[in-house]
Amino acid sequence: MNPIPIPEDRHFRPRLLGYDPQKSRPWLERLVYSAYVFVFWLIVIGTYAGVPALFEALGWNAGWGFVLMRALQVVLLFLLSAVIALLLILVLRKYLGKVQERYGPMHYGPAGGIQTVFDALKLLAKEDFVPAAADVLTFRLAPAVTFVASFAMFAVVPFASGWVLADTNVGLIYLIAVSTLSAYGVLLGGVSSGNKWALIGALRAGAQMVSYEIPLALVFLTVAVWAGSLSLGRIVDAQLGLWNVLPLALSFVLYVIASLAELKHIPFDFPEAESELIAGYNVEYSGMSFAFFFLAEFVELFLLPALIVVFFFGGWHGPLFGLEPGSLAAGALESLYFTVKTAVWVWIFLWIRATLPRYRDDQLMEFAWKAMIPLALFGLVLAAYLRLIWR
Amino acid sequence: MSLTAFYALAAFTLVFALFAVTTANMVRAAFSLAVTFFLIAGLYLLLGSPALAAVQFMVNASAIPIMTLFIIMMTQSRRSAAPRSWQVGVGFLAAAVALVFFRSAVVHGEGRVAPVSPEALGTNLLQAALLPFEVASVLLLLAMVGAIVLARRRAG
Amino acid sequence: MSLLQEVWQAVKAIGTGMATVHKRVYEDAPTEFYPYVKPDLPPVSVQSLALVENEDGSERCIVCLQCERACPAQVITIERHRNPEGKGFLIDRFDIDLVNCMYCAACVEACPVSSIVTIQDFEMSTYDLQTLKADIDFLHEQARRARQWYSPKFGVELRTEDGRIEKAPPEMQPGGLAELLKPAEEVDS
Repeated sequence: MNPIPIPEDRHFRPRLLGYDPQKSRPWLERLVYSAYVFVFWLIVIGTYAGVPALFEALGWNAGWGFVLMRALQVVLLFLLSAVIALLLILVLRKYLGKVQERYGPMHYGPAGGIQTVFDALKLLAKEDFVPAAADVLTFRLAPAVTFVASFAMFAVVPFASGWVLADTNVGLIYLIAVSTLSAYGVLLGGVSSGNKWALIGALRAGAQMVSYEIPLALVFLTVAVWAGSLSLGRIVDAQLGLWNVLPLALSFVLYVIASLAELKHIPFDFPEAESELIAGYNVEYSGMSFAFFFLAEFVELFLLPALIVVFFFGGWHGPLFGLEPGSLAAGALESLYFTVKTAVWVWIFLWIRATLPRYRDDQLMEFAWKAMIPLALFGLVLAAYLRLIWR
Repeated sequence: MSLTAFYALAAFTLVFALFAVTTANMVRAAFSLAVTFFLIAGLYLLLGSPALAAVQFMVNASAIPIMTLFIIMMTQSRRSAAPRSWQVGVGFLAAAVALVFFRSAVVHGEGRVAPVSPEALGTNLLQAALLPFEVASVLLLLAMVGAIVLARRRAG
Repeated sequence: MSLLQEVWQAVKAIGTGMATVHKRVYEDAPTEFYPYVKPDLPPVSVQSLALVENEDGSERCIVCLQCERACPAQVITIERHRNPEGKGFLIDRFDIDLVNCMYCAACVEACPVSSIVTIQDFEMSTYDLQTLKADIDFLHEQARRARQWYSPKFGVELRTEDGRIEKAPPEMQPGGLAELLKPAEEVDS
């Protein structure tokens, strides 16, 4: 370092808030992440325990009051997805920074903790531009469809025993339908942009997501055959003794690969390959529309690992330390287990993203049709056979 | 309450169906067709059959319109000729008939139709209705093989 | 069998890659926090120019016009008059247009008395380009500010252990004693 002090008068120097570049403070980062996870946890408790308790106390748990309660829960879940996106974008940038020997965001908030909030505010303030060649109605609809398709998955994901919006007995079919739906927004956005990069990105996205939909659905079926139910709550309950990851190891690996493709995540990020298609299907979007594409992506980045946990890692199961099952404290603890397991899987997805390069497009399709689908079918038959001889 | 929900769903179904047949932009038409199917899944739900609703959602509201969109994108046919007036009339008539049909089903069938569980549906499909089920699957297989043969001949 | 081997190799390769990536997370980033910490530049780095005065504050420049002649971008403007009281010249004007200067340091090479030097102060961004049309006061000020870290002219000057800049001994200077004493064959090759 040079002994001469830098003259203070000549240049603007931003201040580093809460970060000393000379000494690394990883606990500060962990504190920030924990704060986000705590907010997440609070919202989950409020959504699934607080709101129903409130409406029961008010006596509004029938008829239109019930509809109102569900609407309030959905609003809270929207808040939850915003928290998820803020946290996951921050973690992604910090983690990729560390892997690439950088620091990532660190100027705003403790250890850069509220950088993503400022990013969201910036996106809100930006002009929402519609190109002249675009089909305006479809162009406007596409981000909403993408987000709704991702967000609708929340309806059947159980955070703890009984903590689910709709514990329907067709949960798995609903999940297959909704995950197919998320290809819609991408296709519509790409087609209506009037931009060839967007069109190519949308075509790739459509081909990829529809292809990987099939092994994903087959794995869903495998899990359903093993648990004997299409309801996610009962699938979790069936794993009380043994987590599905052991008997269904093959399907588990296939699910991880297929959900990476479904997420349009590296190594399968053809629809938004930056080096080839600039940004693919969302190249013409700006401002809040773009933010909704982003929000949808990160909500899915939470939900697909959450489904891994539900299907293969025993969902909310964990030691309850003598708490009475079904009570508020037990529910809170169970949802914390669920959150932590999901967080581990999100981290593994980010780890994969930091490691692997992009495949080639034809290799991707070949892999889907020649390897994934036969293996998924084999896994389905294997699971059915094992179920016949074991139970 | 379910009657209110039915009217709201039916009204939106009609609006989107009308839009699907009247618009000249084929992307919009495909999308509004998907929304129509989605709302019809809601009607099934009102009729007390979540399994049928989910299957309608999965097959008719997600998978088929995606294929339609693919075809539109591949063939670059973004616009179609505007529908003739008699076509609009026939479509409207069909929609009205379906509306009356569904309304009577909802009004008379409320509380009388037992919800069909997926287990019962599956058991019925593979026991009582095994022959039609297998015939349908063979038909689909034939269609798939035929499509592949046609595509191959064109490529060669 | 070969298929299984390929699959195993792929799994092994991905595992190795992921392990490597995970190790990188715990390594320190080599990032320099530039605006807060001044970066460590190499000892000779051409960032800006300055005109050095002697230790006693008198002018070191002998106004020989070598730098003006050497400058390929012709950004150096010097006016002089003959010294009425002794030998040599006195400076009327010594301007360097730092906007159009391309920082090739040809003037530094040409200077016989190491008066014009390169310094490591690169923070020259400004709202007004006129401030970069450096006159002699500006150049002196630059040298005064940068006294401890301006680059010694290679082969002519040396930085001593305590940070001062001194004239290099003749055997280290190019074209000096050392070069004359070299064996003939070495000079030829």
